[in-house]
Order: sequence, then C-alpha cells, then structure tokens
Amino acid sequence: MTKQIELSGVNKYYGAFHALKNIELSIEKGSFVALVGPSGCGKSTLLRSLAGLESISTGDLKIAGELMNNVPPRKRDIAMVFQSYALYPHMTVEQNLTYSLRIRGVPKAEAKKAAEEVAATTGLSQLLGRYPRELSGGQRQRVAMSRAIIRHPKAFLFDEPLSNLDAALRVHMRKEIRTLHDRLGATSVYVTHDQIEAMTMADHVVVMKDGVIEQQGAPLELYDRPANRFVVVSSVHRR
Amino acid sequence: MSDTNRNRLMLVIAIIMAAIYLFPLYWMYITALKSGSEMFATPPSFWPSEPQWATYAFVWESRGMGRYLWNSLVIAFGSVTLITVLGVGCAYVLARYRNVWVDIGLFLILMLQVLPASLMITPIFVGFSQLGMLNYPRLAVIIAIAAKSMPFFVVLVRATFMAVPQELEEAALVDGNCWVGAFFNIVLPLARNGILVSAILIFMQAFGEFVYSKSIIQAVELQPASVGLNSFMGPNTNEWNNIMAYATIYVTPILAIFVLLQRRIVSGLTSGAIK
Repeated sequence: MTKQIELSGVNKYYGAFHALKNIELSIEKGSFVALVGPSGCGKSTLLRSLAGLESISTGDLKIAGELMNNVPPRKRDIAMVFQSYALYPHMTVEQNLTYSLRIRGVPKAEAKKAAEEVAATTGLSQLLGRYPRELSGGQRQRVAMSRAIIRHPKAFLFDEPLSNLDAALRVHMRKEIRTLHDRLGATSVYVTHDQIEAMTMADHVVVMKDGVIEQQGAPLELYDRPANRFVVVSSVHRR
Repeated sequence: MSDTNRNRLMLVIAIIMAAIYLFPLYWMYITALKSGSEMFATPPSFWPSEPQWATYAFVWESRGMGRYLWNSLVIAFGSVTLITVLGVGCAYVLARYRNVWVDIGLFLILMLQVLPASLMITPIFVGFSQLGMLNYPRLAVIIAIAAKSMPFFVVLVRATFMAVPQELEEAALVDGNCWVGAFFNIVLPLARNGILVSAILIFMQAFGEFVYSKSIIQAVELQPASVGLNSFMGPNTNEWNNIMAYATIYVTPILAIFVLLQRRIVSGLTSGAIK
C-alpha cells in the first residue's frame, strides 16, 4: 500500500499554546481514517493543517509523496467538507458544484456535465437550479459532499460533517459516506467527537487528547487492547 | 391602560413627532410656491393660494444651478468612489483579524469620527495650501470628505464583512482559489448589499457637504450647490421663495433616492445584528 498522507514530527503552536505535539501519522491510499477526541484536543487543527488552512510550526507533511509544508490550499488538491457545509449562498447548487472546476478553467459544458454526473450519484439531479437556502439540511449535506467529489481530489477531509443533522439522518449518512468512499476508492480523513461514528465508519481510528495522539489502530484493536484509560473511555460507547 | 390604548397613544405621539420633524420640509415646499406678498402675510397661509411654478425656472436660470449641482455630483461621486475603494479593504482587514493592533486601529478610526469638520478644516486648509492642493479645489474637497467619512463607512462595512462566515472563504481556498480570488468571488458578492447601502449614505452626506467646500473652493464656478445656497443668503435677504425653490431642487433628488431605497437601507444597517 502506498502512503497518501504522511505526517512526521508535526508540531503546531499558537503563540505559547502547544496545539499539536509531535504528531506521527501515516494514512494509506484508499483508507478511511477517523480522528476522534474531545473538543479542543487538536483534531480539527490537524485536519486544517492537512488542508493548508493552518500552517504547521515544525515537522513534515507529505501528500502523495510531495512535501506540502508551505504549499497553499489551492495547490494541495484536497477537498474538504465543513461542519457548516460552507455552501456559497449566492450560487445555485450547480454553480456550487462546478466552482472548483471553473476556477481551474474547465470548459463550461464539461463542468456542467460533471455536475450532472455527480448529482445523479448523490440524488441531487432535481435540485441543480436551487439555491442553498431552499434546501433541507440533508440536501445541503449532499451538496457539500458532491462539491468535494466532483474534482477527484487526492484526499477528502471531513470536519464533523454530520453534527448538524438529526439522529436518524445521521445514521443514514454514515453509511452513505462510507459507501461513497469505497466506491470512489478515495482516501478520507474524518474528524468527529462521536466515538460511534469513528468506530463504525473508519478502518483506522486515531484517538487524540490535548494535542497528542494517545493511540491509533483498527477499531477493534483499540477496543480490545486500549493503551490507557482515556482510550477505553473514547472507544466504548458512553451510557 | 389596555394594550390597544397604549399603542394608539404611542402612534399619536409618533405622528406628532414626525409632524414637528417634517414641518421645515413642508414649509420649504410651500414657500417655494408662494408669491412675494403671500410669503409675508400674517397670519401665514399653510397652502399657497396661487402656486408660482415659474419660480423654479427663474432660480435655475438666474443662479446657474446646473453648474452648482454638477459640482455637487462630481464631489459626491468622487468621495464615494475614493471611500469605497479604500474603505472596503480596510473594513475587511478589521473584520478578519483580531489582535491588539486592530483594536487600536479601530479606536483611532472611531476617534476620527468624533472630531467635527469645523475643527478639522483649519489644519486641513493649511496642509493643503502648503501642498499646493488648493489649485485643485474640488479634488481637495473630495480628499477631505473621504478622510472625514471613511470611519463611518469602515465601521458599517466591517459589520457586513463580519456577517460573512470565514468558512466560506476557506471553502473557496480549498476549492482552488487564492485568497484574492476568494475575496472577489465569495466575500464581496455576499457583502454587496451592505457596501451599497453604506456608499449611498456616504453619497448623501457628501452631496450636502458644506464646511470643506465653503472653505476650500474659492472659485464660484467650482462650488457645489450647498455653497451656492449659502451665498444666496445675506443680512438683507427677502427673496425666501427663491431660496426655498433652490433648496427644493437641491434636496428633492436625495429625498427621492432615500424614499425609494429606504427598505434596503434600513435592512442593510441592521444586517448582522441578528443571526
């Protein structure tokens, strides 16, 4: 297996605050990795560093073998699904989907065709002409996903994408995201504070606390052989 | 007192207040139409018996109002353009970055707003005269107005930018845009309404500006309508109907803009206040 994302000795400081402490993580191509931990543990910072929205203070970050430390987000070829979806309110669904293609100078007809293809797989075909404000929460979520997959990026980053959905839809979308991931053969990094989400969706779970990776491994490995009490609490469904 | 009675009382008070506030405007409109003898009649008449429409044409011709209004427009458009181009960038930075220096900057900007024009004009005049700016008096006035009204614009537009979620910009960055592109593609279209409203308010201020124009522009043919109106009045003025007709021609277009756009202006000013 090839390594799609590699982090070695990554540290991040905000002034005196040490947000990420000596992170070592390698993510294989095609795998689904969940970053889990309580709020403020650094999981979102780590994800944003992968996207290039935060710079890392020390260490190396490689995507598909290339050093990305000082590469701006637009040149990293990654896609991100935000917690708030971050759909452009002044653009229709189709314009939202094709925005990344239009920036890259893809011809209009080609972009439109790509949007239609993606919309067909995510069930948005009827909604291409609508604006985000005219969509339900679940539909917005689908648009955010579609916008990410339309340009076949090197990796997908998810920042708690399901936290704004109601419980039933959330369970449904978990399965859908995982299915999509398998079908696209994509590499995904998924941030969540929900242990169930992490344990059920991911191939590889990374448990974080206070900027440190406490343990990482396959879901069952963490469940059966937790490294410490924190991982136990993080990997077992709390009642 | 029951709720309905209370509401009625409030309404009556509001109407009386509005009437008091709008009375001068009403007086301007009817005086402009009165004849010379009717103007000075006691008791005063509240509706002109024989409207003198010819007054408008007479004032327009005799005072050369076309030129005055043109100068006002040049100054107002110049100021609005300068303020918008410079102020949008400034407001954006102040909206997106939070640190001590931004706070200090914001405080200084608000301080500038406190200083009255009549106080500022002396140092501005001296400075401009040393720089030779007084040879380009309208440009000098535009720059002076821009300096004075910029804080107001920046504070309003900053609030508009703060209402645009930062995640949208980040999404655009990840989608492959550079930050300049993200600003023009995403942030600017979403802040358009707020910027437009602020620009209109600035335009109305600049269109009626008096202190700087009066002090800086000596040449009559370059003076705006506000200064022209002032030169109309002297210690022995008695042609009130002409003055009122002048004022009517001057303010009616601004009033019309405001009435037409008032819904947008009010919603623009309060945008970002809720949600």
